[in-house]
Amino acid sequence: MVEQQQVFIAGGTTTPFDYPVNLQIEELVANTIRQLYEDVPNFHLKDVREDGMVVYSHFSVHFAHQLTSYWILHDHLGLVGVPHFRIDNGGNTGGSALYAAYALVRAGLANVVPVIGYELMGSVSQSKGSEFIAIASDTRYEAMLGANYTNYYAGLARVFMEEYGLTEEDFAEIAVKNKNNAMATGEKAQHFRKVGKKLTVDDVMESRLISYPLKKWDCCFMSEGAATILVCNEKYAKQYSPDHYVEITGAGLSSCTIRAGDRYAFPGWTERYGAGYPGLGEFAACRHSAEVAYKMAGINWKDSHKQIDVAEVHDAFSTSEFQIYNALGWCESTTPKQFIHDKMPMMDGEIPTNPGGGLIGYGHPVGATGLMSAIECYYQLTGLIPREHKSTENEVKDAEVGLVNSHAGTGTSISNFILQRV
Amino acid sequence: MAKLHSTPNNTDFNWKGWEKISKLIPERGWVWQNYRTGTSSDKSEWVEQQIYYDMLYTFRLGALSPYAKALKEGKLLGTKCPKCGDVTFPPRVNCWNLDCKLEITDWVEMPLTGILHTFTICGFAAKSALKKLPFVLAYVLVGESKTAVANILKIDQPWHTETNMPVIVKFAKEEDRVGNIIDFWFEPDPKWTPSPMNAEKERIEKLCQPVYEWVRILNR
Repeated sequence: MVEQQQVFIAGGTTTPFDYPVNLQIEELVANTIRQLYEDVPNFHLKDVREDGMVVYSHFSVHFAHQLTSYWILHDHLGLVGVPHFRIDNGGNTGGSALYAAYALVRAGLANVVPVIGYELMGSVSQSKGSEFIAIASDTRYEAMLGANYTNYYAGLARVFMEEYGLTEEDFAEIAVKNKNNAMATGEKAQHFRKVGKKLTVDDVMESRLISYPLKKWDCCFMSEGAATILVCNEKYAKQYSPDHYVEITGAGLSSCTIRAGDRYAFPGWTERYGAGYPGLGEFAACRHSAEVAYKMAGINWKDSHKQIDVAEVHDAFSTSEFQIYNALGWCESTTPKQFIHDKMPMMDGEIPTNPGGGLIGYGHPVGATGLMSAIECYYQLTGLIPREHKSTENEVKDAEVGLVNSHAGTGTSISNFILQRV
Repeated sequence: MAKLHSTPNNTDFNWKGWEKISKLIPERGWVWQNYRTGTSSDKSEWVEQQIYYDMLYTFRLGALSPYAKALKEGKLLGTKCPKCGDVTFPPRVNCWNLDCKLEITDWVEMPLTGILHTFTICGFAAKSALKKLPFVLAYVLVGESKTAVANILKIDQPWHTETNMPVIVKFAKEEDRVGNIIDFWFEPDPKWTPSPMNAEKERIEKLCQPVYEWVRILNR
């Protein structure tokens, strides 16, 4: 009988997130594994063959012009015979794949599980790409309107704004934070490579309207890239990275409606949290999955922003990052307005959020995104930021506890993880 | 055991019919287009292949069919659970309350009025909608529905859109209706007047100006 075991992360790496399209997915992924061989010298794919499984994290077959593209990868990596499957859970694909690997190791079904995420979004035009993503909305009711996810998110943001008295400038602060943090992350971050300069709140305010209250610089862009993170049990963690491993002490996954309009009074939520919650402005799946993860890790809801030292969250839009703060309970002892006014999520604030740049700064190649967030958090907790970013500007010194958030749909699937320095 | 759903022999669906459709809307499949080569900034050489792939989706609406037929008739059909009484639009043909054990809901005709819950002014959207920019995407609670539905709000000055404003449902001309959500949209209730301009409205008006200009260029 296999036994439950503790779960760890022993390494991880990403490609740059605006990787040139002239590379194929097997090269992207092979590059991340080759990098792991350098960073984690004791790691060997043979251990995966003997004692593990592989979870692939990939969102859209439309982008891949290939069904089951991970079969190509698995074969290419020489892993034939090793169990594998692919997770797709919208924008929360990375988080959900990490959750799957966590569950496998936790249950004792596998002892070393690389989670391999990738997305090449440049194989179609940008407008076609937006359309592909929009068909993750309910096509019978939503996609036909000619709107896409940015428009839906903007609608959710508007009601959130009104509820808490927030302004466009409050959101712009978050966009600027993430863009500018990415400048310290360096060459893997999309903003560093494509724009290459710091931005100001005025830049955001003056950028073109995408969907009120969102302007161009409030949004993440189409990206390309891959990421591999190494999930394993304690034995392999100590063997691979004796000085650089973290424990996953909390893991939560939750869901909400596909159509945002349906969460106005959804019975499952009103029974749990009372009438009026979540409405369209709150991410109930984030709150619920955070509650689960916090409980596992021994974090109090009200003090969560004090107990967590660093967070990497799913900022597809500056507005959604703000909604995530609220759904994680960080504004519980203050107000959202005061939270941003006090610069809590900034580098020198109470809970530095997206020091790596997040989706807005680092990029959002969907299948790789949640893994990137987890990897950046892992670097923060293991003192690897100077090695990886070649800078200490966005390092959260002596961080012990980190949060990783991955998010899909209009908040339709959300996962939260607590990582703990060992 | 009760029969869950009818199982017609599909005599009204045959692949010959599909062939007819394919002639009207040709599908070319996986078609070779183009080959290009070049050199990247790191001096590596690349080869690019371009392949065109298209598809026509054909699907039936099953239990949702009454909703689509009603749209053609200029009506909105929602659903009401006979057990808990929850009304929803868009329809849910099985109740969402776990206690109702997926009870089959009843069709109810919705009033053509609603309250706008939240909105956005789109300055960019899907390709098919670019020429309509800037337009308002609104989430509206129609009648007594416990769910909001997203659709376009047609309003002359988008910046005057307000939360909680009363709206009415407008249908496309009968001959233009297709049995899809695009058969209707929202307009402000004629009895409603917007509140005076304020800082946010002025800001949105300003943000919209370059969008108008851009769409003028698109339309040229």
